[in-house]
Amino acid sequence: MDYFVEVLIKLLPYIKITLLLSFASMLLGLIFGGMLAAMKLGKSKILIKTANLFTTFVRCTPVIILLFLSYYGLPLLFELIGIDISRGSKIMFSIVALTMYSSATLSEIIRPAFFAVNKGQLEAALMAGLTFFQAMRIVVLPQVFYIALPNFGNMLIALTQESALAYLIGVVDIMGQAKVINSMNYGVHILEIYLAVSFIYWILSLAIGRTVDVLTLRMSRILGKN
Amino acid sequence: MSFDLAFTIHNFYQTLTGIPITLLITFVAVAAGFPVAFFIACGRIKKVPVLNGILTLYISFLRGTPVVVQIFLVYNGVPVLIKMLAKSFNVNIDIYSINPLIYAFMVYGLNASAGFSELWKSALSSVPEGQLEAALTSGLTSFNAYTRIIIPQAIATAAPSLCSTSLNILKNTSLVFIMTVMDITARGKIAAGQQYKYVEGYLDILITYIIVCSILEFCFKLAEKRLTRYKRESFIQPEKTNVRVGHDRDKKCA
Repeated sequence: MDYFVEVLIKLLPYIKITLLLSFASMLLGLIFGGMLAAMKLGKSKILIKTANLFTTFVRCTPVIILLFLSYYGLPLLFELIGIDISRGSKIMFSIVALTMYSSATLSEIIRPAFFAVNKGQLEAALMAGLTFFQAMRIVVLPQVFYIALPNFGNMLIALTQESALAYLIGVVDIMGQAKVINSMNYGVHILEIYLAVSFIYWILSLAIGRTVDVLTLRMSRILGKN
Repeated sequence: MSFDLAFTIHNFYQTLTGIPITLLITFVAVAAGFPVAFFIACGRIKKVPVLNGILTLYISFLRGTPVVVQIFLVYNGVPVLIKMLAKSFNVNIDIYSINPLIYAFMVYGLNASAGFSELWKSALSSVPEGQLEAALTSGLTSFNAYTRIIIPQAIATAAPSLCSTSLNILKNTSLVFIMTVMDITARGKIAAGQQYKYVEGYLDILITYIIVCSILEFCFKLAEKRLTRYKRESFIQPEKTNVRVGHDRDKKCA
């Protein structure tokens, strides 16, 4: 028990790396996922096909494979155009892999959320004299965001958990540091160490879930929904 | 570094040999987790006082921690537990002779039970309460009412998420190489590591997973069609009954 607390304190500083991985890939995922959703909602057949292909491809692949492919494959791709990124930060490679995963999943969350917003909202906004972009920004997108918010929360939790895999390519986050501590102890306290790790991830997931609940309640008040 | 096509093709066959293990782990996890999850969901819907708290904690732990961490916990923790139990009962068990596949079944079975319980919970609450009441009033026992009326309808609503949850379990089984189980990922990884041809190796693994997932998804679509058949076909066909009624009336007149 003493050792459990000791490890817990040693691991705490590395939470920021885990959070960096998950929040960065969430934000990038929102941008790219939004673009993918826009491609799927658009009229161009080629864009729809491309977006669907990318989504199926990523959703059929374990995150760990995406991680290894981005770590070993991206330098190879960039070599073709003459840029050497093989010495780039490992955190960057893991964010790329996690972003691929999150953008594919988020596009499938955003797309149905768009359909859930009443079409009359956009029409009314256009009739009231707003331009298309204004109508999107002021009227439609906040409602899409509100509908998708619980799923965004689940996605962020999933990303926090998947980011634990980044230790396999050598990122020192909570998992990575646990591995370091474990090998310094010759594997004697392995159970306490991983119990501490699971405890931290558990608290993180609960905290994210709680925050999203509060945010949803706030937004429902602002948007005047019950 | 350059891309080696011959190695990719050769290694692809190597990777394919891992499919049975991946499917086996997924199948055992789904087969064990799905029924267990039903009882967990029932316990949570009925709000049994102490049990409800324990189950909520159980699910939030399994869903709130990464699978890798659970693998480390089970792979290192369960042998210690077995050793302690064996000591107290004076049984001699060689814990090193236990097949790591057993630990894989445990991890993914537990995971599946937590994942499916949420699915069962929403599926069971989607069946109107009147269905159970009607079944009970028409004389079915409570067991029959569940197995014949409630569960078939619940499974039909849950079919799409059943598919995605099972595929998620399949994707997560790619981590069993940590426990030295030889699944798709492990097979591809080892060959790739020996020759430092990581990109080719991982591309093979990726293609294999896409093939397996697509086939499974297709099977689930077929099963879904079968399960939701009652929604599309009405067993009482209105036109035919009308004809018969008319026919009977004609007979009476004659």
